Amino acid sequence: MDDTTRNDLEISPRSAVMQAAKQFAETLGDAPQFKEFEQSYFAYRHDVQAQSAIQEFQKKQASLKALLMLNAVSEEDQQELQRLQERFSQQPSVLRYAKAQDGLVAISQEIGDLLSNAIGLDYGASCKTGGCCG
Amino acid sequence: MGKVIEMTSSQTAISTTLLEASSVLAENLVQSEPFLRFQEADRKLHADQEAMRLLTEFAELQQKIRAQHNSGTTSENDIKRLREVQSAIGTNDGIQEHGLAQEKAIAFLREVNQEISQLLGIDFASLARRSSGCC
Repeated sequence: MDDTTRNDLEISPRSAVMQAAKQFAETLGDAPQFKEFEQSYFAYRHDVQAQSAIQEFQKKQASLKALLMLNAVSEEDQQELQRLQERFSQQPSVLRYAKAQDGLVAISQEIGDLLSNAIGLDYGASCKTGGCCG
Repeated sequence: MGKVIEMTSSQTAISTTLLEASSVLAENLVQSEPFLRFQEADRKLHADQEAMRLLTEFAELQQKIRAQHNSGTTSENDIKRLREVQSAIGTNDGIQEHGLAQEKAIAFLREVNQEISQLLGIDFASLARRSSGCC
């Protein structure tokens, strides 16, 4: 490692780092993938059919909660639950939102990798709080 | 700013503007005090033969004991040695300084992530995280 490539005198003050973070957030917020994520979420939340489909699924799921925990759901109920889940996940607004989320995650992960390589720490893992699944 | 961190998008459609903003953020983080201290501690640790020997031995013993545990043949000597190495790690200045510097760098990184996430309205680190498979 060539020490001349380093310059310890050039310390970036906290305010400069925060300014760069702000600029980064604004740029990411303007990215087409982020805009599509926001718009598709808005459309999904305002899609009456999709909302009714998820409510129906959640209602059925809640009614079977105890049986699901005991792994004792009848075949018939299992099939009905699966049918309701599929009906929800096949709604156009849900498909659009899921695709937008995948797109945003893909660019975020790539940026995360670039940041992690530069700083020598795993960005995503380091910012994890609240235990293993936090 | 010193060395420019070049970033290129290989897989997805990340705009040049976004890559530039990411690059500026990375440069600022690398040159921030917590990260400069962390890099320094990391360099010192890697140059410290005794510290590196302890860390390697600790990792090897952990792996060995785990394998023994799985096969039901635990060695008292290995466990005793693991405790000794663990205790030596606890009093090794280089390792302790490195741990502290890393903690401070992580704390600062979390503050930066919070700033980004507040503006976006979503936790950026959660989006950026590759699944660890721990859940």
